[in-house]
Amino acid sequence: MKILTKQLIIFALLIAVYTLIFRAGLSYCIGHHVWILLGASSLIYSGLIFFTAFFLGKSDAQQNPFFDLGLRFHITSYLIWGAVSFGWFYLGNPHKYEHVEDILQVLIFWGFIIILHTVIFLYTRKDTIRGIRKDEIF
Amino acid sequence: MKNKKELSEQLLEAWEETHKKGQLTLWIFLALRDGPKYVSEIKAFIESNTSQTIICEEQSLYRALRKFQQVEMTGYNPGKGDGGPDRKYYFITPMGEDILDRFIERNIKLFFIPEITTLMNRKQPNKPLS
Repeated sequence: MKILTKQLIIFALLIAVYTLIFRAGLSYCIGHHVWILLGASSLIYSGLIFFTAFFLGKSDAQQNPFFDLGLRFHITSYLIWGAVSFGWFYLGNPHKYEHVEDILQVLIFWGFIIILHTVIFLYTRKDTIRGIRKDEIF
Repeated sequence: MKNKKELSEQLLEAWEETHKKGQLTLWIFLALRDGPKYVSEIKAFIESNTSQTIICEEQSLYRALRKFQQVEMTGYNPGKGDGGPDRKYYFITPMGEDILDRFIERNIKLFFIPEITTLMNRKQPNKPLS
């Protein structure tokens, strides 16, 4: 089973770029009080992540038939988001109203969702053989 | 409303469509039991032996073969292409052979039981469909 696929690597790189631009934009918007732009960029950011995951996930599933319920993409998003957010906070140019606790809170809450996703994945995995859903092998 | 002949034709096509999807796996394994082949050869084997009733895309074959390889029913060896890049010559593994044997025993040989063969060959009296 190949875990680190081409699609997952492209996804990770794109998420890193999107997140870096988003965090820079966030700091700018907070500093200049442009709340509409902040709202719009949040929507664009989430939309980009959704469509990127949708298309690369679909291509990944076609080329790599094993079943993971999207968990690799989810964990990758989590790790990249955390790394870029901390990176921006400590090495970038965050606004003074941005706090590291906010990043931690998001990661803790999101971490619970990751755990839930993992539990569901482990539960549904029993319907697979060698990581492929039984009804999709033949 | 469609007449009976049209309806009958549509139903037959719908049944065939579903039936063919399930048949592809069997035909892939039969092609590989015939000997190692690359994807175009598997496609040609299937299409010629089914009198073109099963037409398959190479992409579908690659997808299926990747899954069979993952569950260790098939494997491949690299081989020389015709002047182009190397080809993957797929083969059926001993476990694949065993599963194919048992599948045929349980599901295909039924059709050769004399009672069933008789039933399959029995034609209904010719009543034209309106």
